[in-house]
Amino acid sequence: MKQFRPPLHEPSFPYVDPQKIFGRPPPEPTRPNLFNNPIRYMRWAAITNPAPFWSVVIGVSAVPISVALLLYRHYTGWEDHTPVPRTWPIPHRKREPLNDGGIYDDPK
Amino acid sequence: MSTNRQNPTFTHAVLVDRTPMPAHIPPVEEVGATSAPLTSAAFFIGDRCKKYNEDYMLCKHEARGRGELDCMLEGRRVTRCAASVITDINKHCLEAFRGHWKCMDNNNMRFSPCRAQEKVFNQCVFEKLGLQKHLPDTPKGEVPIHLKEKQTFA
Repeated sequence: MKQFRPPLHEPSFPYVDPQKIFGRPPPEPTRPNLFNNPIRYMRWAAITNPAPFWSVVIGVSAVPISVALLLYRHYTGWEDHTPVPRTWPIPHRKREPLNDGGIYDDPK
Repeated sequence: MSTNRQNPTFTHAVLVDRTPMPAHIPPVEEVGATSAPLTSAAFFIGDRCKKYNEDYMLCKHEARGRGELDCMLEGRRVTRCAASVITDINKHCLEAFRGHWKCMDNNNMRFSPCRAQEKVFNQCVFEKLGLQKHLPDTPKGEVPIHLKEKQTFA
């Protein structure tokens, strides 16, 4: 059976000219404003640019996740270590007599 | 490959101190140890001499900038105490001490590759001199790192 193939310069059979229905060209999806319509903007971004959108979502969610993990770790009893001293730590007290009999004093 | 063609010379026998201390300042013999033995014996020096070290630091702190002049007696005590520890270790635990500080010398003064030698050394010093290595501020519920049996991931 020979297949009917319309010539290339003519539109195929079920083609409907939208201009005949709407009276104007079909509306293109325009980018919503991020600050006026954030929800709509995110819907638009998730459909139009899914890879950058989900990258940003995952990256931003790292901040609250890390804070929550730190709080949870402290909540379960984990403690930070004492800061490593950067110099010889001077004790918080007054000088006391040595009371060692002067074994390391100067020889007389 | 060394790029220095100069032959090694030992000058310690011919070095002369051209600015000796004045006569009225009492003499003190230096510790006379290089960095590897000093690092190796550091925790035992700290154990015996903590009192003198803290006294010296407090003296310098209270002297407010004149510590180098006012705290010389305390400084001599620190030197003598450290020297006494080195002398005692050399007297009682020479082999273990040598094994440890040579290992430290070959490993860039790191303690972690030398735990085997350190165990022998610490045991000897504790038995003969009663000095003990103490790591301050070990996290709660953890074994101090030098007492861990398995040192693979230490």
